[in-house]
Amino acid sequence: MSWSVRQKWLFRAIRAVPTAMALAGTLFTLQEIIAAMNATTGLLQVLPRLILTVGFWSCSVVGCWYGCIGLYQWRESTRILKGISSQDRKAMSVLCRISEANRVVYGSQPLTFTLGVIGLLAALLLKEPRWLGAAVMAVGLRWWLWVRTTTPPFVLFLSTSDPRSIEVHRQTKHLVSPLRVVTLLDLGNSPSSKVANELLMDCLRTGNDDDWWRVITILIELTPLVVVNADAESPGVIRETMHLISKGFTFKTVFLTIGDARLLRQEPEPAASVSSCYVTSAVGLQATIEAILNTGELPEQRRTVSSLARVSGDREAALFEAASRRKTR
Amino acid sequence: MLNRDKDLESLSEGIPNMPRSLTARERLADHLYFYLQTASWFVFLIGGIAGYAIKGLIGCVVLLAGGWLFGMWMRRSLGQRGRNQFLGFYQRIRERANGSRRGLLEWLIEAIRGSGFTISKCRAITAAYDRAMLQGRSTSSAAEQQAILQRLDAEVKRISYSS
Repeated sequence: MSWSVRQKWLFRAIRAVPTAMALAGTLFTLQEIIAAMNATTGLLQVLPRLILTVGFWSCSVVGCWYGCIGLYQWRESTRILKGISSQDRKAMSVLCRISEANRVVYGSQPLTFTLGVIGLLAALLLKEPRWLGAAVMAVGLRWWLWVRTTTPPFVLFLSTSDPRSIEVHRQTKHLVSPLRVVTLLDLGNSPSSKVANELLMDCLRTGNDDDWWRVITILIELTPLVVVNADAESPGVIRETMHLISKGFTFKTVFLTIGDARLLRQEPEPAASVSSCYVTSAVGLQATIEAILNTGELPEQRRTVSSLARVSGDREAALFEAASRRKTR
Repeated sequence: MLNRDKDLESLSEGIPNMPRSLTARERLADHLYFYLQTASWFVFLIGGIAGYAIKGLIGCVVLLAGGWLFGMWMRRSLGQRGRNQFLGFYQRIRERANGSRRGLLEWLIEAIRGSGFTISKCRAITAAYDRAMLQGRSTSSAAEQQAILQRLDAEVKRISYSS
């Protein structure tokens, strides 16, 4: 089963859990409303109970949704990345702490904690289990946040902070979801605030410029696939490319271009020779990523990203040939 | 030790203009401060719930109000003044420079940090703030004002984190 088909079905299965819960919640609430209408008690006595029921189911559905999404991302990331060590998770957590994404995470932690405490205290003091909905929501959100911030990326995209690069980040994110695509782009250059919000958790741009290079080297080590915008010529991208080549990381590097790969043709000295690098277009990158995800084989020194892309190309060509032969028969 | 571990250890806090990295105690104190600040906004809810459990609707109303007042006290005790955090911080530092005592929660946070805002530090910060405001008033350029605020931020952090 191909990656995209598998994800489609998995996501449907995951979505079914909170959907079923929402349906059950609606039914229970309706039942309570009907019972209240039949009863002789006044509206004021019934209303708090109804609000509590609606609150319980709403919080539980939200908690369940985030819990399931977190579980889905955790399961798929662990499978594709062949397990995630606690050191890798710790490293990602530190990188998140010093990045702009921390604005969201740092504020969410005490909020979810307080929400959980309120839910638990209320359930205990008032002997009313429906208050546990708040605790369920807090646990679901905390779990999702932990998975979202500590999972190493599947793709690291290195480029200059222009709107086109942000769009490439967004498209690649959609392609490999629920896996992560991480960049250090400036989301202030996003075409819209909606895009910026969507990418915020995956943008590990540092608040302190001195950290930039260390963050890049850590991420290059952690990530199985590095994509470099070969049309960018900024000093930062050139330094990143030189590092990838000098440290022997070209086996997992894809140079993305829509034109003449200026980065690889620089004067007087190119950042890398075109022959030793895997240079491809956006379509080629998509095919390469799909090939890696479909086979489940990550690039290694012996199995470079270009060979994986070629094998997949050959396999697809063979499949296409076999299908055409069957058709002619 | 792997290169990555060395790189991780040498990372800053992600906060601009920091003269040095935070100690474990300072990090813990910062976390606690943030948790207390968040709790102060919701403590009235806990009061309301506890009140309802103890004395029904009347207890709920009384402790809801009590919790709201307690939340206000928590924020004041943490050293927060007014809604604008930037101005509030300098207002509190000026109070401390003039000899005001530490709030209970301020004392707790500073005890955990292992360092605090002494009168001499507060005076130095207040002087830096007054200088920056004077410079800011004499220029109308937004870029220059931004640069003044940046310099003030660096100066305040240098004073705050000095031993």
